[in-house]
Amino acid sequence: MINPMDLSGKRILVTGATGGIGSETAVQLSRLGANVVICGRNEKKLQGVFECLEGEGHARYVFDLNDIDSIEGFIKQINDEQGVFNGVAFCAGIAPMRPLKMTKRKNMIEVMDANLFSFIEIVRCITKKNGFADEGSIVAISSTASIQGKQSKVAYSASKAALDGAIRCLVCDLKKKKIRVNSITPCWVNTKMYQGYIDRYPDTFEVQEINEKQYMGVTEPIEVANTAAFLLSDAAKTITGTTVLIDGGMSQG
Amino acid sequence: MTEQEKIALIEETLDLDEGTLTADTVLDDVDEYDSMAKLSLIVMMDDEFGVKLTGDVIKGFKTVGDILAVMN
Amino acid sequence: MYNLVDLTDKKILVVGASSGIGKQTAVTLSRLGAKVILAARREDKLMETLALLEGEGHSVKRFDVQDTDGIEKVVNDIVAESGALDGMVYSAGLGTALPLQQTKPEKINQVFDVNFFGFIETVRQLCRRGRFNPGMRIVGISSVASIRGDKSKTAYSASKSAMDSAVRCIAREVADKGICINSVAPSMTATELYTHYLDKYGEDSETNKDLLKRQYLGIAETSDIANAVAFLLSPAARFITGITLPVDGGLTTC
Repeated sequence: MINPMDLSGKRILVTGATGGIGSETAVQLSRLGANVVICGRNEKKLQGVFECLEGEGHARYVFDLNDIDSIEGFIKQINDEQGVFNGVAFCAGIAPMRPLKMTKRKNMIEVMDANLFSFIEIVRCITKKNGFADEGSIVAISSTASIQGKQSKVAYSASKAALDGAIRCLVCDLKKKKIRVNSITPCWVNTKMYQGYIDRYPDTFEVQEINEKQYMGVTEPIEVANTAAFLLSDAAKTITGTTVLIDGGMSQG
Repeated sequence: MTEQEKIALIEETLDLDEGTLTADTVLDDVDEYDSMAKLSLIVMMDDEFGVKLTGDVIKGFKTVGDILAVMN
Repeated sequence: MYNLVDLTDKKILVVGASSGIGKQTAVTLSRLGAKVILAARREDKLMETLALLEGEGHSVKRFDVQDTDGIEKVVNDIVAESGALDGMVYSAGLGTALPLQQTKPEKINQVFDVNFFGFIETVRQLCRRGRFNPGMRIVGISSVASIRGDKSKTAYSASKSAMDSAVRCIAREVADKGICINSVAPSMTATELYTHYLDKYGEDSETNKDLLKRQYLGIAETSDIANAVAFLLSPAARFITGITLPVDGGLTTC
């Protein structure tokens, strides 16, 4: 029996590890043999995820990615304490709904900081010098919002499109070390965030659409985790600068 | 914030001319009170008052006065 | 004779009219009958553009897109002086090449301030009641960098992808108000930016040769871009909204 997605011997950083997608991804990567380094803001939740990781050689760090200026120091710390990394799964992010007329600069910065600027800074710092192995792989979570325009999603959509735009450039800058960078494009994923939407915005256009347009059903976090694992593994050795659409039919239906 | 100021804030959020609403205005009678307007209310209440409205609470709004009641 | 792109008496604000694509766009719009409001940080450069415009009824306005908090007042003043607007072109942009290791947070913020946050705030203010006439059309100057990656372009590409995605969202949101918004994605155009590029790499360099292989129709003239913008601003483009139109000599398709 072969396992094309064997991640044994790979050290992978998972950000946003306390969220629905991040936690599932961290656990799945550990099941595939990776040494997982998880980070998140909430110490208690982080501990909970850490205890679910299988195998050994994992680590956890409480760290707030929004403190962008501290990312350089954080990356140095995890490199010093854990070693060289082979992968990053960037699962942190926020997805607020906000009409254009109420979208002021500070609202946009908040979304960009969490979804884009922190991602670029993590990649910049971890790929400096010898912190990241050649032929390593980086995965970020994008969204169909990157390609489809909807109401009240200006800042969020822009941040995800910017993420994908940045990824196409990062692969060029990281050519020498053959580091791959890709994103995953889900629409609705069954997480607490999604449940929160259903509760808060039951009347809105967006929520009504879900059952109709995402006709294959809401995506489960494990599917996103599996896609991330695939992209992080050697099975995806020449896949780079692209995105994997897993949107249950939403954008094409 | 005075009641007048709160009403003005609701009018601005709903993109209505100043003076269109009173505390007694029935929301069903306001054409502009659609799903976008409800979303704008949710965002405004969070921004200005730190109040997180839920879908159930919004369903319960029948008049402008009901909205004023949670603007604390 | 039927003029497909007739902008007679349309009041159009051109942000970034002091140079490059914005400057040519302002000239082209004036030739199509528009009343142009020239806006940029450098008023002296705006006066140079003003001298090139055809027709009358144009004006000049100091506009610093990096001062996002001040944009509301500038838009207010423009509307107070000229009345509600029929169009806007956002041609302000920072195109600096920045290798990944120099792409630090404060640099990214700077690029986003000019290329994205300023754009959104200007659009947001313009779409408020009393500031636009029904049928107002907006065009953002994006870039092929939004669609294709290149080295040393992380911050720039990200900001342009952000603009195009925002255009898709805003188009959906403002449709009810009768407003349409699109962007134009030029590849390398004969402006100061290209002159700097040639100074840096040299005309015979591999870099320039690669560029010309990709945009196989050559280097764009500013008028090529201005023409596409004018079309998107006109009633002829009535049914076009939310798109990014590449004007790129073939680059994104090959």
